[in-house]
Amino acid sequence: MNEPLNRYLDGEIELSDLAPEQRREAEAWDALVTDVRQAGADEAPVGLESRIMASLHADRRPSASRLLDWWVNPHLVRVRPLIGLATAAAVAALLFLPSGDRSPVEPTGAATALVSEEAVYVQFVLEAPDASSVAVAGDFSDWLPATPLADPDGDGVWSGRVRLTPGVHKYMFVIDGTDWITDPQAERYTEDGFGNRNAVLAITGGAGAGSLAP
Amino acid sequence: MRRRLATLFAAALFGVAATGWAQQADDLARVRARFPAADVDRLETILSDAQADGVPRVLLVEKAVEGAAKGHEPAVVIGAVSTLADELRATVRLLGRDTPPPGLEKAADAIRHGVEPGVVRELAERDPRDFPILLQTIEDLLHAGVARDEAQGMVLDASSRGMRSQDVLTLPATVRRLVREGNSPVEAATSIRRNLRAGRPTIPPAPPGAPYRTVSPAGTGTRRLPPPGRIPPA
Repeated sequence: MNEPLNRYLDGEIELSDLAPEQRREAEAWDALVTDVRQAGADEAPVGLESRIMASLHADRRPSASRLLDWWVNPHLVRVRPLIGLATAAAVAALLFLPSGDRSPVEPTGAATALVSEEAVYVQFVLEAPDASSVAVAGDFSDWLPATPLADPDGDGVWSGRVRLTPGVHKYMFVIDGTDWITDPQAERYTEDGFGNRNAVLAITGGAGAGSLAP
Repeated sequence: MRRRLATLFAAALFGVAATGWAQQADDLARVRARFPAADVDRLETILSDAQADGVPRVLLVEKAVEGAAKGHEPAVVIGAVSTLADELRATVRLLGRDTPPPGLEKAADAIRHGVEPGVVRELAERDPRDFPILLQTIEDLLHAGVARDEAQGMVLDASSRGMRSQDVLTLPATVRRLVREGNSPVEAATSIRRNLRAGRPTIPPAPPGAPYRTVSPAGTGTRRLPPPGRIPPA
Protein backbone atom coordinates (compact mmCIF):
# COMPACT_ATOMS: atom_id res chain seq x y z
CA MET A 1 0.00 0.00 0.00
CA ASN A 2 1.40 3.36 -1.02
CA GLU A 3 2.03 6.30 1.26
CA PRO A 4 -0.80 8.70 0.12
CA LEU A 5 -3.37 5.91 0.44
CA ASN A 6 -2.10 5.13 3.93
CA ARG A 7 -2.43 8.76 4.91
CA TYR A 8 -5.98 8.89 3.49
CA LEU A 9 -7.05 5.78 5.45
CA ASP A 10 -5.51 7.32 8.57
CA GLY A 11 -7.65 10.40 8.01
CA GLU A 12 -4.74 12.70 7.44
CA ILE A 13 -5.74 13.82 3.91
CA GLU A 14 -8.95 14.08 1.93
CA LEU A 15 -10.07 11.86 -0.94
CA SER A 16 -9.68 14.77 -3.28
CA ASP A 17 -5.99 14.98 -2.44
CA LEU A 18 -5.36 11.62 -4.07
CA ALA A 19 -4.46 10.95 -7.69
CA PRO A 20 -7.34 9.47 -9.75
CA GLU A 21 -6.07 5.87 -9.70
CA GLN A 22 -5.38 6.08 -5.96
CA ARG A 23 -8.82 7.58 -5.48
CA ARG A 24 -10.41 4.47 -7.00
CA GLU A 25 -8.46 2.21 -4.71
CA ALA A 26 -9.38 4.39 -1.73
CA GLU A 27 -13.06 4.15 -2.62
CA ALA A 28 -12.77 0.36 -2.79
CA TRP A 29 -11.22 0.37 0.75
CA ASP A 30 -14.02 2.64 1.96
CA ALA A 31 -16.63 0.25 0.58
CA LEU A 32 -14.97 -2.69 2.33
CA VAL A 33 -14.89 -0.86 5.65
CA THR A 34 -18.55 0.10 5.25
CA ASP A 35 -19.52 -3.54 4.54
CA VAL A 36 -17.74 -4.76 7.64
CA ARG A 37 -19.41 -2.13 9.79
CA GLN A 38 -22.80 -2.94 8.38
CA ALA A 39 -22.28 -6.63 9.11
CA GLY A 40 -22.34 -5.69 12.82
CA ALA A 41 -19.78 -8.33 13.79
CA ASP A 42 -18.97 -6.79 17.13
CA GLU A 43 -19.48 -10.03 19.02
CA ALA A 44 -18.17 -13.50 18.40
CA PRO A 45 -20.65 -15.83 16.65
CA VAL A 46 -22.74 -17.98 18.93
CA GLY A 47 -20.96 -21.23 19.79
CA LEU A 48 -17.52 -20.11 18.65
CA GLU A 49 -15.97 -20.58 22.09
CA SER A 50 -17.38 -24.06 22.55
CA ARG A 51 -16.22 -25.07 19.06
CA ILE A 52 -12.66 -23.88 19.82
CA MET A 53 -12.58 -25.69 23.15
CA ALA A 54 -13.90 -28.82 21.49
CA SER A 55 -11.13 -28.69 18.91
CA LEU A 56 -8.54 -28.30 21.69
CA HIS A 57 -9.89 -31.30 23.58
CA ALA A 58 -9.81 -33.26 20.39
CA ASP A 59 -5.95 -33.12 20.40
CA ARG A 60 -5.32 -36.79 21.09
CA ARG A 61 -1.72 -36.94 19.93
CA PRO A 62 0.67 -39.13 21.93
CA SER A 63 1.95 -37.45 25.10
CA ALA A 64 5.55 -37.74 23.87
CA SER A 65 4.69 -35.73 20.77
CA ARG A 66 2.90 -33.07 22.81
CA LEU A 67 5.86 -32.96 25.22
CA LEU A 68 8.22 -32.51 22.29
CA ASP A 69 6.03 -29.68 20.98
CA TRP A 70 6.13 -28.02 24.38
CA TRP A 71 9.95 -28.03 24.31
CA VAL A 72 10.39 -26.84 20.73
CA ASN A 73 7.57 -24.33 20.34
CA PRO A 74 7.99 -20.75 21.56
CA HIS A 75 6.33 -19.73 24.82
CA LEU A 76 5.56 -16.36 26.24
CA VAL A 77 7.42 -16.09 29.54
CA ARG A 78 6.78 -13.28 31.95
CA VAL A 79 9.58 -12.53 34.36
CA ARG A 80 9.85 -9.88 37.03
CA PRO A 81 13.02 -7.89 36.25
CA LEU A 82 14.37 -8.23 39.79
CA ILE A 83 13.89 -11.98 39.80
CA GLY A 84 15.43 -12.22 36.34
CA LEU A 85 18.48 -10.26 37.46
CA ALA A 86 18.86 -12.36 40.58
CA THR A 87 18.66 -15.56 38.55
CA ALA A 88 21.24 -14.26 36.07
CA ALA A 89 23.55 -13.32 38.94
CA ALA A 90 23.18 -16.77 40.49
CA VAL A 91 23.96 -18.49 37.19
CA ALA A 92 26.98 -16.24 36.63
CA ALA A 93 28.22 -16.97 40.15
CA LEU A 94 27.92 -20.71 39.56
CA LEU A 95 29.71 -20.50 36.21
CA PHE A 96 32.57 -18.35 37.40
CA LEU A 97 33.08 -19.95 40.79
CA PRO A 98 36.57 -21.52 40.76
CA SER A 99 36.29 -25.24 40.23
CA GLY A 100 37.86 -27.71 42.57
CA ASP A 101 37.57 -25.57 45.64
CA ARG A 102 34.26 -24.28 46.84
CA SER A 103 35.20 -23.79 50.43
CA PRO A 104 33.87 -20.61 51.95
CA VAL A 105 37.05 -20.32 54.04
CA GLU A 106 39.30 -20.63 51.03
CA PRO A 107 41.64 -17.65 50.59
CA THR A 108 41.46 -16.29 47.10
CA GLY A 109 43.26 -13.78 44.95
CA ALA A 110 46.81 -13.87 46.23
CA ALA A 111 47.41 -17.33 44.81
CA THR A 112 46.71 -15.98 41.37
CA ALA A 113 49.11 -13.12 41.93
CA LEU A 114 51.80 -15.62 42.75
CA VAL A 115 51.61 -17.51 39.52
CA SER A 116 49.88 -15.39 36.93
CA GLU A 117 52.40 -12.80 35.84
CA GLU A 118 54.46 -14.82 33.47
CA ALA A 119 54.76 -18.30 32.08
CA VAL A 120 57.96 -20.15 31.40
CA TYR A 121 58.53 -22.98 28.99
CA VAL A 122 60.37 -25.87 30.57
CA GLN A 123 61.77 -28.74 28.58
CA PHE A 124 61.50 -32.15 30.16
CA VAL A 125 63.98 -34.78 29.05
CA LEU A 126 64.18 -38.44 30.02
CA GLU A 127 66.42 -41.18 28.74
CA ALA A 128 64.25 -44.31 28.50
CA PRO A 129 65.42 -46.55 25.66
CA ASP A 130 62.93 -49.34 26.35
CA ALA A 131 59.85 -47.14 26.65
CA SER A 132 57.05 -47.15 24.12
CA SER A 133 55.72 -43.85 25.41
CA VAL A 134 56.74 -41.28 27.98
CA ALA A 135 54.65 -38.46 29.42
CA VAL A 136 55.08 -35.96 32.19
CA ALA A 137 52.45 -35.45 34.89
CA GLY A 138 52.47 -33.03 37.74
CA ASP A 139 50.53 -30.61 39.84
CA PHE A 140 50.41 -28.39 36.75
CA SER A 141 48.38 -31.04 34.89
CA ASP A 142 46.22 -32.28 37.78
CA TRP A 143 48.48 -35.32 37.73
CA LEU A 144 47.21 -36.36 34.35
CA PRO A 145 49.97 -37.54 32.01
CA ALA A 146 48.78 -34.87 29.65
CA THR A 147 52.07 -33.94 28.00
CA PRO A 148 53.58 -36.75 25.97
CA LEU A 149 57.31 -36.56 25.35
CA ALA A 150 58.65 -37.36 21.91
CA ASP A 151 61.57 -39.39 20.68
CA PRO A 152 61.56 -38.60 16.96
CA ASP A 153 64.98 -40.05 16.18
CA GLY A 154 64.45 -43.22 18.22
CA ASP A 155 67.58 -42.84 20.33
CA GLY A 156 65.68 -43.41 23.55
CA VAL A 157 65.90 -39.80 24.69
CA TRP A 158 62.37 -38.44 25.12
CA SER A 159 61.70 -34.74 25.39
CA GLY A 160 58.87 -32.25 25.39
CA ARG A 161 58.14 -28.82 26.64
CA VAL A 162 55.50 -27.59 29.06
CA ARG A 163 54.32 -24.07 29.78
CA LEU A 164 54.51 -23.49 33.52
CA THR A 165 53.68 -20.57 35.74
CA PRO A 166 56.15 -19.24 38.30
CA GLY A 167 56.12 -21.13 41.57
CA VAL A 168 57.15 -24.48 42.95
CA HIS A 169 55.94 -27.47 40.92
CA LYS A 170 56.09 -31.24 41.47
CA TYR A 171 56.13 -33.83 38.72
CA MET A 172 56.90 -37.42 37.72
CA PHE A 173 57.36 -39.20 34.42
CA VAL A 174 54.85 -41.83 33.28
CA ILE A 175 56.29 -44.58 31.12
CA ASP A 176 54.03 -46.66 28.88
CA GLY A 177 51.00 -45.13 30.53
CA THR A 178 51.39 -47.08 33.77
CA ASP A 179 54.83 -46.80 35.36
CA TRP A 180 55.36 -43.65 37.40
CA ILE A 181 59.03 -42.87 37.85
CA THR A 182 60.90 -40.05 39.54
CA ASP A 183 63.09 -37.89 37.30
CA PRO A 184 66.54 -39.35 38.00
CA GLN A 185 68.24 -36.07 37.10
CA ALA A 186 65.99 -33.61 38.91
CA GLU A 187 67.57 -30.81 40.82
CA ARG A 188 65.47 -31.39 43.91
CA TYR A 189 62.93 -33.82 45.29
CA THR A 190 60.22 -34.08 47.90
CA GLU A 191 58.36 -37.06 49.34
CA ASP A 192 55.01 -37.58 47.66
CA GLY A 193 53.35 -39.06 50.75
CA PHE A 194 52.85 -42.41 49.05
CA GLY A 195 56.34 -43.77 49.60
CA ASN A 196 57.93 -42.25 46.49
CA ARG A 197 59.52 -38.95 45.58
CA ASN A 198 58.28 -36.23 43.30
CA ALA A 199 60.80 -34.12 41.43
CA VAL A 200 60.48 -30.43 42.24
CA LEU A 201 60.84 -27.46 39.94
CA ALA A 202 61.19 -23.95 41.32
CA ILE A 203 60.39 -21.35 38.70
CA THR A 204 60.72 -17.65 39.16
CA GLY A 205 59.24 -15.03 36.92
CA GLY A 206 62.34 -13.03 36.10
CA ALA A 207 63.85 -13.40 32.66
CA GLY A 208 67.16 -15.17 32.62
CA ALA A 209 66.87 -16.47 36.15
CA GLY A 210 68.90 -19.57 36.68
CA SER A 211 66.12 -21.30 38.54
CA LEU A 212 66.97 -24.67 37.09
CA ALA A 213 70.71 -24.39 37.50
CA PRO A 214 72.09 -26.95 39.94
CA MET B 1 10.92 -29.49 11.02
CA ARG B 2 14.23 -27.74 10.52
CA ARG B 3 13.50 -25.38 13.39
CA ARG B 4 12.58 -28.31 15.59
CA LEU B 5 15.86 -30.08 14.80
CA ALA B 6 17.83 -26.92 15.50
CA THR B 7 16.08 -26.55 18.82
CA LEU B 8 16.78 -30.17 19.72
CA PHE B 9 20.44 -29.68 18.76
CA ALA B 10 20.66 -26.62 21.00
CA ALA B 11 19.07 -28.55 23.84
CA ALA B 12 21.58 -31.36 23.36
CA LEU B 13 24.45 -28.87 23.44
CA PHE B 14 23.08 -27.41 26.65
CA GLY B 15 22.87 -30.88 28.13
CA VAL B 16 26.48 -31.64 27.25
CA ALA B 17 27.63 -28.33 28.73
CA ALA B 18 25.62 -28.91 31.89
CA THR B 19 27.08 -32.39 32.26
CA GLY B 20 30.60 -31.01 31.82
CA TRP B 21 29.98 -28.38 34.44
CA ALA B 22 28.61 -30.94 36.84
CA GLN B 23 31.71 -33.10 36.38
CA GLN B 24 33.93 -30.07 36.91
CA ALA B 25 32.08 -29.26 40.08
CA ASP B 26 32.88 -32.72 41.47
CA ASP B 27 36.54 -32.21 42.29
CA LEU B 28 36.87 -35.79 43.52
CA ALA B 29 35.42 -37.31 40.36
CA ARG B 30 38.67 -39.03 39.39
CA VAL B 31 39.04 -40.46 42.87
CA ARG B 32 35.39 -41.55 42.90
CA ALA B 33 35.96 -43.39 39.62
CA ARG B 34 38.66 -45.57 41.16
CA PHE B 35 37.81 -45.92 44.84
CA PRO B 36 34.86 -47.59 46.61
CA ALA B 37 32.22 -45.18 47.85
CA ALA B 38 33.07 -45.84 51.49
CA ASP B 39 36.67 -44.72 50.95
CA VAL B 40 35.54 -41.60 49.13
CA ASP B 41 33.24 -40.87 52.07
CA ARG B 42 36.20 -41.14 54.45
CA LEU B 43 38.14 -38.75 52.25
CA GLU B 44 35.24 -36.32 52.21
CA THR B 45 35.13 -36.42 56.01
CA ILE B 46 38.85 -35.64 56.24
CA LEU B 47 38.42 -32.81 53.76
CA SER B 48 35.43 -31.33 55.57
CA ASP B 49 37.12 -31.46 58.96
CA ALA B 50 40.26 -29.83 57.58
CA GLN B 51 38.23 -27.18 55.77
CA ALA B 52 36.55 -26.29 59.04
CA ASP B 53 40.03 -25.57 60.40
CA GLY B 54 40.84 -23.29 57.47
CA VAL B 55 42.78 -25.77 55.33
CA PRO B 56 42.15 -25.14 51.62
CA ARG B 57 40.25 -28.08 50.18
CA VAL B 58 42.08 -27.79 46.88
CA LEU B 59 45.39 -28.92 48.40
CA LEU B 60 43.91 -32.08 49.87
CA VAL B 61 41.91 -32.86 46.75
CA GLU B 62 45.09 -32.50 44.71
CA LYS B 63 46.88 -35.01 46.96
CA ALA B 64 43.98 -37.47 46.67
CA VAL B 65 43.89 -37.07 42.89
CA GLU B 66 47.66 -37.55 42.73
CA GLY B 67 47.43 -40.77 44.71
CA ALA B 68 44.58 -42.09 42.61
CA ALA B 69 46.38 -41.17 39.38
CA LYS B 70 49.50 -43.01 40.52
CA GLY B 71 47.42 -46.12 41.21
CA HIS B 72 47.84 -46.30 44.98
CA GLU B 73 45.42 -48.21 47.19
CA PRO B 74 42.66 -46.19 48.89
CA ALA B 75 44.12 -46.79 52.36
CA VAL B 76 47.48 -45.35 51.27
CA VAL B 77 45.84 -42.31 49.72
CA ILE B 78 43.61 -41.72 52.72
CA GLY B 79 46.66 -41.92 55.00
CA ALA B 80 48.61 -39.44 52.87
CA VAL B 81 45.70 -37.00 52.71
CA SER B 82 45.14 -37.26 56.46
CA THR B 83 48.84 -36.61 57.18
CA LEU B 84 48.89 -33.64 54.84
CA ALA B 85 45.72 -32.28 56.43
CA ASP B 86 47.39 -32.34 59.85
CA GLU B 87 50.50 -30.59 58.49
CA LEU B 88 48.40 -27.95 56.78
CA ARG B 89 46.36 -27.36 59.94
CA ALA B 90 49.58 -26.48 61.75
CA THR B 91 50.64 -24.25 58.86
CA VAL B 92 47.30 -22.45 58.82
CA ARG B 93 47.64 -21.81 62.54
CA LEU B 94 51.13 -20.43 61.89
CA LEU B 95 50.45 -18.25 58.85
CA GLY B 96 46.73 -17.54 59.03
CA ARG B 97 43.76 -18.49 56.90
CA ASP B 98 44.44 -15.81 54.31
CA THR B 99 47.64 -17.42 53.11
CA PRO B 100 47.35 -18.58 49.50
CA PRO B 101 47.26 -22.38 49.04
CA PRO B 102 50.66 -22.62 47.24
CA GLY B 103 52.26 -20.77 50.13
CA LEU B 104 50.63 -23.02 52.73
CA GLU B 105 51.70 -26.12 50.86
CA LYS B 106 55.29 -24.96 50.52
CA ALA B 107 55.41 -23.87 54.16
CA ALA B 108 54.25 -27.31 55.29
CA ASP B 109 56.86 -28.89 53.05
CA ALA B 110 59.62 -26.63 54.39
CA ILE B 111 58.74 -27.34 58.02
CA ARG B 112 58.73 -31.05 57.23
CA HIS B 113 62.26 -30.62 55.84
CA GLY B 114 63.56 -28.87 58.92
CA VAL B 115 62.97 -25.16 58.38
CA GLU B 116 61.99 -23.48 61.63
CA PRO B 117 58.35 -22.34 61.80
CA GLY B 118 59.44 -18.90 63.03
CA VAL B 119 61.55 -18.41 59.91
CA VAL B 120 58.69 -19.58 57.72
CA ARG B 121 56.40 -17.01 59.30
CA GLU B 122 58.98 -14.23 59.05
CA LEU B 123 59.56 -14.86 55.34
CA ALA B 124 55.82 -15.11 54.68
CA GLU B 125 55.24 -11.76 56.35
CA ARG B 126 58.19 -10.17 54.60
CA ASP B 127 57.47 -11.43 51.10
CA PRO B 128 53.92 -12.83 50.84
CA ARG B 129 54.27 -13.28 47.10
CA ASP B 130 57.58 -15.08 46.70
CA PHE B 131 58.14 -16.74 50.06
CA PRO B 132 57.60 -20.24 48.62
CA ILE B 133 60.66 -19.66 46.45
CA LEU B 134 62.62 -18.44 49.48
CA LEU B 135 61.60 -21.52 51.46
CA GLN B 136 62.62 -23.73 48.58
CA THR B 137 66.02 -22.01 48.60
CA ILE B 138 66.50 -22.84 52.28
CA GLU B 139 65.64 -26.47 51.55
CA ASP B 140 68.13 -26.48 48.67
CA LEU B 141 70.82 -25.02 50.92
CA LEU B 142 70.15 -27.71 53.53
CA HIS B 143 70.41 -30.29 50.79
CA ALA B 144 73.73 -28.76 49.71
CA GLY B 145 75.10 -29.39 53.19
CA VAL B 146 74.68 -25.96 54.73
CA ALA B 147 73.70 -25.99 58.41
CA ARG B 148 70.13 -24.95 59.19
CA ASP B 149 70.90 -21.71 61.00
CA GLU B 150 73.34 -20.66 58.29
CA ALA B 151 70.89 -21.55 55.47
CA GLN B 152 68.02 -19.69 57.09
CA GLY B 153 70.25 -16.72 57.91
CA MET B 154 71.52 -16.54 54.34
CA VAL B 155 68.00 -16.36 52.87
CA LEU B 156 66.81 -13.91 55.53
CA ASP B 157 69.81 -11.70 54.76
CA ALA B 158 69.13 -11.89 51.03
CA SER B 159 65.44 -11.12 51.54
CA SER B 160 66.05 -8.20 53.91
CA ARG B 161 68.43 -6.68 51.35
CA GLY B 162 65.78 -6.80 48.66
CA MET B 163 67.44 -9.50 46.56
CA ARG B 164 65.14 -10.73 43.80
CA SER B 165 63.71 -14.21 44.33
CA GLN B 166 65.27 -15.51 41.11
CA ASP B 167 68.66 -14.42 42.42
CA VAL B 168 68.03 -15.90 45.86
CA LEU B 169 67.22 -19.18 44.16
CA THR B 170 70.75 -19.30 42.70
CA LEU B 171 72.42 -19.24 46.14
CA PRO B 172 72.50 -23.04 46.54
CA ALA B 173 74.19 -23.34 43.14
CA THR B 174 76.82 -20.88 44.33
CA VAL B 175 77.36 -22.95 47.46
CA ARG B 176 77.78 -26.11 45.42
CA ARG B 177 80.20 -24.35 43.13
CA LEU B 178 82.33 -23.14 46.05
CA VAL B 179 82.28 -26.65 47.51
CA ARG B 180 83.46 -28.03 44.20
CA GLU B 181 86.31 -25.54 44.38
CA GLY B 182 87.40 -27.08 47.65
CA ASN B 183 85.51 -25.12 50.29
CA SER B 184 83.42 -26.77 52.96
CA PRO B 185 79.67 -25.99 52.93
CA VAL B 186 80.19 -23.89 56.07
CA GLU B 187 82.98 -21.89 54.42
CA ALA B 188 80.92 -21.45 51.28
CA ALA B 189 77.89 -20.24 53.20
CA THR B 190 79.96 -17.90 55.35
CA SER B 191 81.60 -16.40 52.29
CA ILE B 192 78.30 -15.82 50.51
CA ARG B 193 76.70 -14.32 53.59
CA ARG B 194 79.66 -11.99 54.09
CA ASN B 195 79.29 -10.78 50.52
CA LEU B 196 75.54 -10.34 50.98
CA ARG B 197 75.99 -8.20 54.05
CA ALA B 198 78.68 -6.13 52.35
CA GLY B 199 76.47 -5.60 49.32
CA ARG B 200 78.94 -7.40 47.06
CA PRO B 201 77.98 -9.94 44.38
CA THR B 202 77.36 -13.33 45.93
CA ILE B 203 78.80 -15.21 43.00
CA PRO B 204 82.59 -15.02 42.97
CA PRO B 205 84.25 -15.13 39.54
CA ALA B 206 84.97 -18.62 38.33
CA PRO B 207 88.60 -19.67 38.06
CA PRO B 208 89.85 -19.61 34.45
CA GLY B 209 88.99 -22.78 32.58
CA ALA B 210 86.79 -24.21 35.33
CA PRO B 211 84.53 -26.83 33.74
CA TYR B 212 81.37 -25.94 35.64
CA ARG B 213 78.04 -26.96 34.26
CA THR B 214 75.16 -24.55 34.52
CA VAL B 215 72.38 -26.95 33.50
CA SER B 216 71.56 -30.58 34.07
CA PRO B 217 73.62 -33.15 32.20
CA ALA B 218 72.66 -33.41 28.56
CA GLY B 219 69.88 -35.84 27.81
CA THR B 220 68.14 -35.86 31.17
CA GLY B 221 66.41 -33.60 33.63
CA THR B 222 64.83 -30.29 32.80
CA ARG B 223 65.87 -27.10 31.12
CA ARG B 224 64.50 -23.64 31.33
CA LEU B 225 63.93 -22.50 27.78
CA PRO B 226 64.14 -19.00 26.31
CA PRO B 227 60.99 -16.86 26.29
CA PRO B 228 58.11 -18.32 24.23
CA GLY B 229 58.51 -15.87 21.39
CA ARG B 230 61.72 -17.50 20.35
CA ILE B 231 60.53 -21.06 20.59
CA PRO B 232 59.19 -22.86 17.55
CA PRO B 233 55.93 -24.71 18.18
CA ALA B 234 56.44 -28.08 19.82
